[in-house]
This record gives sequence, structure tokens and C-alpha cells, in this order.
Amino acid sequence: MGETQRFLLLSIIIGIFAGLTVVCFHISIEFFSWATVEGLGNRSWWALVLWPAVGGGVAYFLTDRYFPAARGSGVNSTKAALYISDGYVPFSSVLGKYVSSTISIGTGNPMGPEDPALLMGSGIASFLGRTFRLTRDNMRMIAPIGAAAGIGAAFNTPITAVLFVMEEVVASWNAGVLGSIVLSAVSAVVVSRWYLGDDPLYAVPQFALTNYTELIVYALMGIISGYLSAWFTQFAASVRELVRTTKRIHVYLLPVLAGLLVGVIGVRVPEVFGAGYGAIDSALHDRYLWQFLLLLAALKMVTTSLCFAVGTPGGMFAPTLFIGAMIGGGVGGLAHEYWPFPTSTAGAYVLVGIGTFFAGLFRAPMTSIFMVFEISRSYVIILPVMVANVIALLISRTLQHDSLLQIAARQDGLDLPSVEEQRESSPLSVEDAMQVGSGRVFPSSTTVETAFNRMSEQELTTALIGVHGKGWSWVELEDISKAIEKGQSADSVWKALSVRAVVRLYPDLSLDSAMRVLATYPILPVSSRANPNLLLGTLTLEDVHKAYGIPEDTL
Amino acid sequence: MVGATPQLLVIVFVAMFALFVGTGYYNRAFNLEREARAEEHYRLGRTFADYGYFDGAIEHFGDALLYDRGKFDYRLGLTLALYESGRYQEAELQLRQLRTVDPTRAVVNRLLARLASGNGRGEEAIQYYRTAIYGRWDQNPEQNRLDTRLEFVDFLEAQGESLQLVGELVSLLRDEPADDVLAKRVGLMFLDAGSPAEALRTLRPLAAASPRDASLRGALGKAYFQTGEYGLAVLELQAAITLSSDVQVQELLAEANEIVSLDPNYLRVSRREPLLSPRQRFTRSREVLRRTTAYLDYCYNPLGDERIGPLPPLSPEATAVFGAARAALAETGRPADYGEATERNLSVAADLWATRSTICTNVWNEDDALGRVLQGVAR
Repeated sequence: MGETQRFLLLSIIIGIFAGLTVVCFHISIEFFSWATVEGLGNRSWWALVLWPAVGGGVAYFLTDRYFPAARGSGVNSTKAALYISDGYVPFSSVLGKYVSSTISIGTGNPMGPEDPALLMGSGIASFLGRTFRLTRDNMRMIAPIGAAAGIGAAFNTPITAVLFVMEEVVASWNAGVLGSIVLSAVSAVVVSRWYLGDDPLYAVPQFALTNYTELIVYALMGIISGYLSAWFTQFAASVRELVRTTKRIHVYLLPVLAGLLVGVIGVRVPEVFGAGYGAIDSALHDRYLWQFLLLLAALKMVTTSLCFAVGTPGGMFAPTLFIGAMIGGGVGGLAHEYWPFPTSTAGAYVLVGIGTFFAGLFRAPMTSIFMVFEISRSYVIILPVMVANVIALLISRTLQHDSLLQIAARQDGLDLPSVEEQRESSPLSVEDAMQVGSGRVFPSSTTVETAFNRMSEQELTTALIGVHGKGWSWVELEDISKAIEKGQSADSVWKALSVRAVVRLYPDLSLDSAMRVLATYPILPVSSRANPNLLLGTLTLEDVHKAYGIPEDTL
Repeated sequence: MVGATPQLLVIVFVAMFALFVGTGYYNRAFNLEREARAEEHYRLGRTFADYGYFDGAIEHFGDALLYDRGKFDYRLGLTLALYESGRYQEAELQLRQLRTVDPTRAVVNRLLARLASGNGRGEEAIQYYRTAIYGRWDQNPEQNRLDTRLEFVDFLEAQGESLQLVGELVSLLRDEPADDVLAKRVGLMFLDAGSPAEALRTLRPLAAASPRDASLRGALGKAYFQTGEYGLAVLELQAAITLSSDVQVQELLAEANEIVSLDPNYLRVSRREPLLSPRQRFTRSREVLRRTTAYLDYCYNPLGDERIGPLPPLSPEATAVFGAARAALAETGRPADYGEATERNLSVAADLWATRSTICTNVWNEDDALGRVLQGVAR
């Protein structure tokens, strides 16, 4: 078995371990929830108020005191492992996330289990990678592979898991990594379904586009979600910064206060408790009025942003879906009542809305679209989802340049690369640097003397000589000088000097690839792919430096 | 994977196996608790529903579904509660989902049929009713199936789908166990659906068994009337009137009596009745011809002498038939052959009757009794 195959096998093992861990994590959260907010809380309102506060406080204390590696966002920790620590994620972060998030989410704090599951997957993968003593390159990629397994098992959607990790963590579609990520995500989802069943997180009603004018409503939903996600990012980031800088309140007290607010709201509106899958399910089945849906969105935005800002353990994945779903349902319900054309019920808008706030907050458009597609298992939904999500993303990005996770990473002192920028930055290509024309190219009949004179005039140290229509060879001024000294001034260059063949470059080739070749050849011809003998220009290392804006005197 | 030694691999796989087993036990405990909680909410939901407190029932069925989303009965409970509380749109959404899970579940199809019927989606309702009739009932299947069939035939009757209604009634009588109340209801429906022969077949044995049932005798009389057996209709309608007075039955009896007294081809229905003599048949045929001519005269010129302007010209055929009729009526003496004269009168009357569509541009007050007699003559 080769190294690649063994790495793929390890990806499956990672997926299985991550899947089993996430299944236990899911069950633990449920048990904790039944024992707290869904148990005693049903009998006394004061317990319902206190449980999130107690849970948030205890979870924060445990993380801070015993599992500091489990602090913060799982996505950022995984990115840090990929870009900073060569794939190292301490195993204590797995234990820490498991315990603290179980307590926090189980007691009703409005956070989600996906981000902790993602970090647990990364931690398990890293641990196995160290155990099997992987090479440095493989070790760096192991954390995203585990992350895909973790999120896949938690959300029960393999495609979403793969896309999320590729979009949010890796930002590269390298076939080798993609294969491992897919294998680990699929094996984790298989394990999860083995124990928890095949059903997606929500029982999704059949979706239909009642009327094409509904697309306008979906676009409106995207606009609102885009604005609110930008506001959410700014609000949560500001509160987080305030919490970090102010010393007036003890840090252990902040999650307690945030939990208390959650409890007070939850007594009247228990839908804000926890990840909120049940509430989304109810909304999907039109069990809420649109006014209540909008209220739920507002309350969840406030409570989740506060909990995130004060460091209550848990993720943002599920709450963003909740908020998007409720905004969608609210807008849809309103349209159902007042739109002049027939529209679907609010449930359909809840379904489409699930991804809009997510798209605006996480800046992962492909994930947001395919997530709804994967949950709904409906092809018809793709059009409204694309409209709403892309609009939400564009508006959110226009209003707020950095995503919440980027800001949080920066606040924590981590300068992680922006995957969004990486994805969208266009690398320089040969045509951006090449010198157009044939000033550095001489015909095959050029004599040594002529070549010497022209190169001297143009201050060239290297030039290309045509080889009778069979390509080009390169010569250096020094060689020509030597030929003159030998008395070969009247001979043609290619006859006087030994021919040194060069490889061709093409205008669309990346400058990075070209630079690797320039290490061997000082000058290279750039020709057309349609007609390789047609010379479009030349490229030297100096041209590349100019394209990158590096001043010559610094080299 | 420098460190992938066989010993390490064994350790990893043993750990994986142990975790599998441990997760299995943990999951089992979780499922037991989850199911118990779901069942508790379901039980409460049913209790609320039994007492007619559907909002509470909806709440608890919804909670039960949160614990066990895939359970059909929980969603069905929620759906029924939504339906009962009048939240039809939500109920329909749920029903459609349930139908995708189990398309043959009769109760789901029956409710969908009701909703489709209420929303004027007749074709859809028919499809759902059929599935409900032949689908699977969990409790009391015979009675539920019968109730659904009766609901379906009521729906078909309301929709005016006579052909489908008759078909459904025939299969209902064939499939369901004999029941006098049901048979009577079906017989009456046959009548309403314009299938008097089927109604007769259903009602006759019932009337024989319950001769003092006025509505039954009346319906039987109506069925006889519709099949053209006016003598029998008179007998049954008279019996019905004797048992219980009914204006509609009286009107029908009067019409039946008129037909019986006018029809030259009338055959007695009991031995106590005398047979018509050739002279009586002739007299009746003259009366038929007279009424036919009078009707068409009126029809052609309803204003009589008060008419302003000329009458529209008659077709040559109509003119000839009118002439023949007037000539026959002008003969006052005893005919040489009663039989031949009777046939000639009836033939002329039938021809004259056949021209009425060209003469009567605006037919009203049609002589029903005369029409029915001439219909018999044409047959």
C-alpha cells in the first residue's frame, strides 16, 4: 500500500472516530438538556432562568481553567493548525470542547454543536496523525480532514461538510486533499446515521415555487439577511472587543450574565434555548405566525451575539441557520399576507432562509446553497436559494469587509489568512509580466557582430536567437563577446555558438510556474498556444520582479 | 505514515471497536429515554384531543415529534388535531407529507379528499377517496371503509357525477354486507343519479319486506314512473299516499294517473283491471291526436287572434302533417276498423309531435303526460 492509499485509509479512520465522538456529543447534549431546561425547567420558572447562566458560567470556567486549548472558534483553531502549527491540535481541545459545549448548549445557551464538533474532528485527526507519525506536509492537512468529519457528523450532511471546509478552511481544491476530506466526511456521516438515523436535521416539507414573482420576495429576504448579518458581525465584534478590554466585570461573570439574559427571555420564549433545531422544524411546518418568527430572529441575534462575545462555549453554525430561517419565515409570512400574487406559506421561506444569514456571516456561498439543497433534497429550491444567498452575501460583504471569524481571530492575536480573499485573489500570469514584441529576439541569420551591437545598444545580457523556424535558443552577451574574440564576428550566431534550446511559455501560465522555469533559463519565449511558433513576447526574471513591484535595487 | 506499525494498527482498531460498542450502549439508553418522552407527549396529546382541546393536543403532538420525528402516528395525531381545530392549510401540508411516507394509509387519503373537495378540487378528491376506500385502515376497517364509501357517493352526488355515482353505488352494493337501511339509501341515490332500473332492483325487495314504509313505496313508485311502468307507479304511489301524505308523491300520482287514462296502449297491471276495448283504444287515440294538435297549434301561434303581423311559414312537411291531423279529427263517424283507425291516429300524432322542434321556437308548458304517452307510442 502506497503512502497516498495509507493516507486515504487514515482519513476513513479519522472519519469513524470523529463520527463516534460526535454521536456521543450529540447524545450528551440531549441528555443534559432533558436534565436541565427540559426537565426541572418545566416545573419552575426560576430554574429555567438560572440554568443557562449556571451552564454558561461553569462551561466557561472549565474551558478557561482546565482546557484553554478549547477556547474560541473551532474554525479558527483548525485554520491555525493548518497555517501556523503544522497540523497540531492538542487532544485536550477535544475533551474541552466536548465537556464545555455539552454543558453550555445542554443548559440552553443559544449556541450550536457544529463548530465544537468541527474542532473535535480536527483534534482527533491531529492526534491520530501524530500517533502515526505523518510527514510534515500530510500533518498540516490532517486538521481540515478531521474538521470535515466533525461537521459532517454533527450536521448529517456530507456535501455541506466538505464544501464548508474547502471554502472556509482550506481554500484549495487540490485533488489529493479533496479526496481525503470527502472520505472522512462520508465515513463520519455513515457512522452518525448508523446511530442517529438517516433523517436530516429538519423534517422538510415539500417545496414548490408557487409563482415566479416570489423570486422578488426571496431577493428581499436576501437583502434583509445581508443587512442583518453585517449588523450582527459589527455588534458581536464590538461587544467582544469591549469584553476583552474592559476589566470592570470579572470574565467568569460575563457568561453568567449572558446566560441570565437567555434564561429571562427563554421563560417566555423557550425557542431561543439551545441550537434551535426544534424551533426551525416547527417554523418549517408553519406552526408560527410571521410576527413571532421575526421576534425569534431578533431575540436569537441578541442572545447569540452576546454569548459569542463573552466566550460562552459553542458554535455559531446552528444559530445562524436559526436566524436566517426565522427572517425568511417572517418575510415569507408577511408576503403571504400582503403580496399581490399567490405565494407559498412561510414554511417554504423558512427553508430558503436557512442559508441566507449563514452566507452573509460566514461568507461561504457554495456551502450555504448546497446546505439547503442537501437538507431539502429538492431541485426546485435551488433558484430561490441562489438568489437569496448571493444577494445576502454581496450586501453583507459590501457593508462589512471582514467576516466575524476573521475579526475574532485578529482580536485573539491570530493573523490567519482570509480564505475569502485567497479564493478571490487572481494570481499573476505570464502575460502580466512578459515583454511584448521581439526586441530581445534575433533572427537565425543574425551575425555575431550584429547581435553584439544590438545587445550592447539595448543593454541586454541575454537574448533569444531563432533556430530556422524550429523554436528559439538563448545566448548571453558574454558568449558573443568570446566569439568575437575568436574572430567569428561574421558568422551567424547559431553557427558560431552552441544552440541552447529553451522551453516555451504561454500567456495564461501562472507566474509562479514560470518562475520555476526561469531558475534554469535566463530568458524564455512566450508563444501562442494556437500557433507555438508565433512569438508573443519574452520573459526574464527582471520582468517578473517588475510585475510583482519589487524595485531592482532591493534585489 | 512512518509509525503505522501492526501493533499500533491493532490498538487503533481495538479502540475503534470499543468506542463503537460504548456508543451503541449510550445510544440505546438515549433512544429509550427519547421514545419514553415522545410517548408521554403523544399520550397527553391524545387525551387533549379526546376532550376536544385541540390547541393543547397540537402542542403535545408537536413535542412528541420533536423527540421522534419519524413516527407516523405522532404526525398523524398532529394532523388530525390541526384538521379538527380548523387549521386546514397546515393540516394539508402535514397530510401531503404523510402521504409520501405511506400513500396507502386510508385515513390520510380521506382527509385529503375532504380538503380537496372543500377547495373545489373535484378530480383530486375522487382520487383520494378511491385510495381511502381501498387503502389500509388501522382500526375498524369495515365500518371506516363503508363510511368513506358513503361519504364518497355523497360527494359524487353533490358534484353531479352521475355516471361515477352509479358505478360506485353498484360496487357498494356488491362489496358491502346487506343492510336494509344502506340498501334503501343506495336505492334512493340510484334514483337521484338517474338510474331507475338499478333503483327498482334495489328497492323492490325492500318494499316487499316493509310494505308499510311510505317513503320506500313512494321511491318505488317514482322508479316505476321513470322506467315507464305507469300502472305499477300508480299502485305504489297510491300506497305511499295512503300511508303518509306527501305533496310531491301526490303530484307524481296525478301525472301517472293522467298518463294511464290517456295511453291507448296501456296494459293492465292487475287482473282486477278491465282490458281496454278496441273502441276505448280508438277514443284514446283521438284524444291523443287532439291534444297533440292543440298543443302544436298553441305552440305555433300562442297569441291567437291577438297576434300582429303574419305567422312564419310552415315547412311543407309540417303543413302536410297538420293537414292529415285535422282531416283525421274531422272524421266523426264510427270507423270501419277500430284497430286501423287507432294506429293511423297514433301515427299522425307521433309525426306531428316529431315536428314540434321546427314549430315551437319557444317551448314552455310542455304537455308532460302527452309527451310520455307519445314516447311510449314511438317505442
